[in-house]
Parts: sequence; structure tokens; C-alpha cells
Amino acid sequence: MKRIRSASAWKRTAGAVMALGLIAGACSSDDGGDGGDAGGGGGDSVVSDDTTADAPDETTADAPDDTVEVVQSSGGRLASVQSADVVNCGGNDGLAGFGIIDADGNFSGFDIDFCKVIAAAVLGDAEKVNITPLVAAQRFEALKGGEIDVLIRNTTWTASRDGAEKANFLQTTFFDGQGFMVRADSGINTLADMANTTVCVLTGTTTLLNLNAVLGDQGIPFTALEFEDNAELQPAFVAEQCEVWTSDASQLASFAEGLDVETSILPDIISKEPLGPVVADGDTEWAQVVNWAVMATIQAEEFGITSENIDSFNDSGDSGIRRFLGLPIDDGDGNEIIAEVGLGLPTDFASNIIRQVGNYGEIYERNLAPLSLSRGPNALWTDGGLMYVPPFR
Amino acid sequence: MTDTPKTAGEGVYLGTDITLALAARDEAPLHSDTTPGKWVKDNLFNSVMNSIITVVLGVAVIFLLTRAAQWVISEEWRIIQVNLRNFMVGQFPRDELWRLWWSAYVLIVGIGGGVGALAHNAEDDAREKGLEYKRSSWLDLLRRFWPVLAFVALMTSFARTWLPYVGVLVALALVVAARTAGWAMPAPVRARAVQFMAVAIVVSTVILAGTSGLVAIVAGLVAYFAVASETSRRFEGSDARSTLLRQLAPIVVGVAVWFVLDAVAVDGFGWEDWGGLHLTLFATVVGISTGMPLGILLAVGRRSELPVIKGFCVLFIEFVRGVPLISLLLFSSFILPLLFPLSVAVPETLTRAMIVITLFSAAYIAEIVRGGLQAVPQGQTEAAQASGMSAAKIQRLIVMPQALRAVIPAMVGQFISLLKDTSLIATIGVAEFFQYSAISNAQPEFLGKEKQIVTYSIVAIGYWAFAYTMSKESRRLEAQLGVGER
Repeated sequence: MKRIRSASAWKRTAGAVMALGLIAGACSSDDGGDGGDAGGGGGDSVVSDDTTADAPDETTADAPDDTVEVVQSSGGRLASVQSADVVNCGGNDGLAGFGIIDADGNFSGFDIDFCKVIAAAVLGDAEKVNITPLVAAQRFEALKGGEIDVLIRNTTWTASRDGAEKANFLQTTFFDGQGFMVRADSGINTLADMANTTVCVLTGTTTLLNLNAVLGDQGIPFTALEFEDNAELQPAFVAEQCEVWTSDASQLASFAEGLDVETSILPDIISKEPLGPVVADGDTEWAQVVNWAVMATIQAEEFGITSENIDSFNDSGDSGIRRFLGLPIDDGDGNEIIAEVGLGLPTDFASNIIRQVGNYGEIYERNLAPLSLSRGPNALWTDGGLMYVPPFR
Repeated sequence: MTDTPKTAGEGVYLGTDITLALAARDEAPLHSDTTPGKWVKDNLFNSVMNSIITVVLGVAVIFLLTRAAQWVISEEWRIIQVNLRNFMVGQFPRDELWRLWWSAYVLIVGIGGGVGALAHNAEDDAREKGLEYKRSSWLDLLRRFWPVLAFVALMTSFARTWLPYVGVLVALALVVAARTAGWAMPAPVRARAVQFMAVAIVVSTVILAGTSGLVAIVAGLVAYFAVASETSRRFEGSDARSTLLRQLAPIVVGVAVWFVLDAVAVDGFGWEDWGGLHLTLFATVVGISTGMPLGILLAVGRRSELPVIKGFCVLFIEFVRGVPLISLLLFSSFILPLLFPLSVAVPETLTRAMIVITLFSAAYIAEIVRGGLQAVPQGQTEAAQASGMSAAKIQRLIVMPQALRAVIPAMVGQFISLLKDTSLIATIGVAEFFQYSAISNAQPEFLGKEKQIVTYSIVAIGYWAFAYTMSKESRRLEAQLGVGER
């Protein structure tokens, strides 16, 4: 009798541990759902955000704050990057144009180049980068855990990520938005033409939520055909299982290039997807360093400085350009001084960035032009785009 | 089934009928002397129904084969050519590829030589005991490993330089040379085949990954065991000097090797730089070779009469088996780093994944082994106890060999699913063999070109080649050990 009781005690314990395991599994799958993939539409699912927000209320309100403080007080990220002599970036290994492993086994892409920009600015060598490929669900955990110094992985800037995810979004490097692609001969030119059509869309991302919201608000009836990723969706679109393909405009443009059928992308953009570098909350010094390094590429394009012509600016008379490039300037008393802006960056950081990686336009040309992505909203403000940075002085 | 019609009431035992049938089968020649034409007529067109089935299936097979051949010829294989290195070794630095080749060569020499020596030892052993021993020929090796060889040939054919051809040919030549040399070694050298293999594995790892951290420790351990077996062979006496040498020398040499390797600090590329098929195979080998001993311990522990040990083993096995591998991997990737104190460096994602894979396969292997343990009759243990063997010896010499022999098919089945399960590490951002299919299709050059069918075919052939070889080897092992015949 006694023995039977002890056996059932063991069973109870086992049951409790397995229940714990299930909870752990559930939590991790919450994280998995959390955040989707910005490349395929970005955005958090509302449900998982609520879970994260509610959790602290149920337990003690202080606990999560404490944890965050401990993580953040490790601070001094700039110093640790300098002593490690390498910038650890979280990136994507499978998104054409933004972050991908190329045939030589190297990471390349728009986001990867911005990681190199940071390395060139902080360490003076664009090659001193270590890219950790992350899946969408891992990215904020990696940032919070300090595994990576900066996250540049086609990540959409949203309020909940700035807030609940304890992330700090910096200068947007690419303004994306959800668009619609149709066959050129489909006769669909506006959203209203999409009435009673079938729309191919990615499941589990904000793309579907946006689609339902926008078309629902306008009272346009449609059928959604859902897919896990764009590579699976493409054959369905080609086989005319759906008339419309909705995804991030950048994705649509890059897939359109490889298709055998003539397509056109509607002018309607129904969401805002600003993508840019992200650092962990709480280290302002490091955030500023990353931010100004990234903004230097945009300022360089505005000045017209490229990796090709940068040497011709050595004799420039423009004090703005001289200050930007870390060249000696007249301090007004006839003394030649080199401006020090006090960001913790070398005075010639902009010059290093431009020489080793290039200005924003060059980075764009190198990575995104082959996917036939036009500059659109990513043009300089002087050309009617959104790329506008504060002055370097 | 026999052709003789059975008539009731003939007074013959049914059992005799079966015995006779079996005897007839045994006496029937393996290759009958029928002509091909007669064989076809007898087997494919022996009735109207069978003729129709033959024709229909034949047309279907020919149609499918033609379509497949057409596809192979017309398909653009550039995506594999361009990404060949990615599929094979992932992001391993391209100007350091010599490390992979040389570590493979050393491994081939070590394993090939060791296997040759062990085969010769086995033959000597069999002859000494007056048993029959079937020497395996080169043709046997080809028959055993043709799927892997065919896959290597297929992948090499995608190479755009001559270097991989040379590398593969050198490797094949080394296999032949090493096995022949191993066989030809004098008996005292052959007796040390296992140590030789262990040292070769360590050297191969050092060439590839350098001596950072774990490698130096493992090298020290290997040195310890190698020297221990050497000294126990040389100094058998029970005098003080022999005992001292036996016990001290391995420790001194082991520690020396560890420290020297650690101090020399050969540089290399650890597994965070590995990828592709190389990583897939490595993860499988690690999962098998560390999961199996752990699994055996867990199985024995589960049958233990000590409640704490038994309880722990049951909890562990049932927890791990009750959770999908993918959720354990996600746990290792997301939750585990948060549990580490800040002062302790969190291990690499891949290291954590390897630990999870090992524990996962250990739990499954434990249950398989337990099944084998239950198949061993209690009388075996009792007989061994009666003859005065210790509990550990009973397990090691009586129970475990019989238990493991009985579960080879299930065990190899587990190994094969482990090989395929390693593709799940892609979900935590580690680019292994399978993942490169998605990556190469997302490259700007191939985006939207629908080359998934090409890459997935190659990946499937790769997994199949290794899984099928494992399965063949397991059947060969079963035949050798006579599983299912007793």
C-alpha cells in the first residue's frame, strides 16, 4: 500500500513538471508568433503583445523592470564593442537585397552594409563585423540578452516594440509599405477594382490584418488565400489561383523581377513599414553612435560625397563638408582645428564610412537596385523623399 | 506455398507439410536456369489480369522515367553550381577550405587504417577459434556505400573548378591505401587500432577547429586512455614500479597533452562557422555518439530500484519525449540565455542546440534500450548472479550485449530520424543543409525563379543517401550478429 502511494506521488511530480514544460513550450511559441517577419509584412500580432503586457500585472510589477535594469546596467556597449574590436549584428540570412548568404558564403545586403557602416565608424574597419543570422522570433531576445550589439534585420518600427520589447529604434534606413501586385493584363488599377477577387497573402503577419482592415473598411469583398512565405505564394500567383498578391512593396518588386509574367504594382500603399537599426533600451551613448553612423551615409549623399570622389573633397572650401569629414577647419581665430562632436566616435568616422562602405545612395544602388526597387520614399528630402537627417555640427 | 494440393484426411501432420515446404525451398537453386523470356512469361504475363497490370504499370513507369529524364536534361542547375559550397560546408571561410579537406583526409586515414586493422584482427580471432570468417572485398564496400559515393559523385559533378574532383579522388585513393595499409600492419600495431583511430579523430578536429577550449580537453582525455591502455599492456606486474607507472603515466601524459595543446593554441574555426551538409552530419554524429551512452545510462537508471535515480530517469525521459524537438530547440534559443547569470558567457546558439539534440536522442534511445533490456530473460541475470558476477559485470557482459543486439533496427531507425531532425536547427537561425535550399532560392539571382524543385531534389537525395546507407549498414550488422535467426 505504501509503495503504491509513493508511486502516485512520483506520478504527481512528473505531472507537475510536464505541465511546467507545456507552459514553457507555450511561452516560446508565443515568442514565435510575436513579431512576425517584417520582410513578409512586419508587425506584431496584437494577441501576443497583450500577453507580454499583461504578464507583469499578474506577478509583481517590479520584477520585469529589475531584470531590464540589470541587463541595461551592463551598459558601456561602445566600450565593450571597442575592446572586442568587432561589432555583433543580428541579421537575416535569407532576404534578397537586405540580408542573405551569397554564393561565396558571405553575408551581403542592404542591412548587412549598415552593420559594416557601424563597424567602419566605431572601429575604423568595415570588415570587423560578426553577423548572427536570426529568425524573426529570436531578434528581440538576442538584443535583450546582449548577444548582439545592434539588430539590423528588416525590422519594422512600431510602438509596442519600442515599448514592450524594450527595443530602441533608430534612424529608418528603408521606408517600406504594404502594396499590391497584379498581372499587367488583369485590368485592376485601384483598390476598388479588387472587388470579388482572390488575394494571395502571408499568414500570421500584419499583412493579413492590414488587408482585412483596409479592404473591410472600404467594403470591398475579397477572398484571402494564405501562404507561409512568399516563395510558396509565388507559384499560386503564377498559376492564377489569385489575381492579387499583397506583401511589402519591396518584396513584390523583387519577386516581380524573377517572374515570367508581366505584372504591375498598384500605387496604393496601405501600411507604413519603416525599417532600420535597433539597439537595446538603456544605453543612450551606444544608440547615438549607431544613429549618427547610419545618418552619416545619408548626409554624405546629400553632400554628394561618394566612395569614388571623397578624395576630391580634401580641399573643399565648404566648412560643413570639412567638419563632416573630420578635416581641419578654421575656428574663427585663424587656428586650424578638427571638430570634435563628442559622440565617442573618431573625428574621421564619416570619412571611414564613405571610403569603406559608401554613401546611402551607393548602398542602395549596390543592394536594392538589382531587385529593381526604385528609390520612392527613400529618396533624399531634397528629391522629394523622406531621407532627412539633422545637421552634423 | 507448395504446389502439391492438400487433401484432408491423409493422416499427415500439418507441421510436416511446412517442414517439407521449407526443405524444398532450401534445396531450390538460388538462380534458376530459366531463360529471360521464360521468366517474363512465368512472372509477368502468366494470366490475363497480370498481363494487363504489367502493361499498365510498365507504361506508367516508362512515362515517369521519361518525364524525369526530360526534366533533368532541360532543368537549369546553375543554382546548385553557384551554391555548391554553401550546400556542402555553409559559410566556412572560402580561403580556409583546405582545413576541411585535410581534416577529412586525416579522418579517412585514421578510420580507414583502423577499420582495416580491426578486420584483420577479427579474421585472426576467428581463425584462432576455428570459426568461419568471410573476408569483405572492395566490391562489398562499394555495395555497402554506393548511395553515399553516388551522392558525392553527383555533388562533385556540379563543381566548376577541378579542385573538388582532385580532392574527392585523393580521398578515395586514401580510403583504399589506408585500409590496405591497416590490414598489412604487424599484429602488435593492429592491436592499437582503436587508439590510432581516436588520435586521428582528434588530429582531424584540431586541423579544423584549432585547440580552443573543448578540443584540448578531449585531446587530453584521448591521450589519457591511449596511454592507459598502453601502460596496462606493458607493465603488467604488481610491483610498486609497475603500478606507479600504470597509474601515473596516463595522467601525466594526458594533462601534458591538454596543457601543451592549450598553450600552443592552434587557430581554427569552431562549429559556429560551420554549416551545410558538414554541419548536418556533424550534428548527427554528435547526437548519436553522445546520446547513445547517455540513453543506455537512462535506460538502466529507469530499471533501477533506487527511487531517486528511477524517478529522475522517468521524469527526464517522459518530459523530453513528450515535447516536440522544435519546442526544445526554441527553448534553448530563447529561454536558456535568460537563465544564465550575467557574469557567465551564454554558449553559442549552436552549442545549445547540440545539447538539446543530444538530450533528445538520449531520451528516445533510452526507451529503445529499455525495450531490449526487457527482452533479455530474467534467467540470464540469475545465472550470472549464481556464478558470482558483480552487478556491473552482469550488465556489461551479459545483459547489455543481448539487449542492444535485439534493438538494432529500432536504434538505427532513431539514428535516421535524428539525421533528418537536425534540419530543425534551421528554425533557430542555424544554416544547415536543408536551410540552404531556402537561402539559395532567396538570393537575388534566383529569387522568383522557382528553383525550389531543384534545390529540394538535391537536398532530398543527400538525406536519402546517408539515411539509406545507415539502414543498409544496420541490416548488415543484424545479419552479422544473427539477429532474427535465433
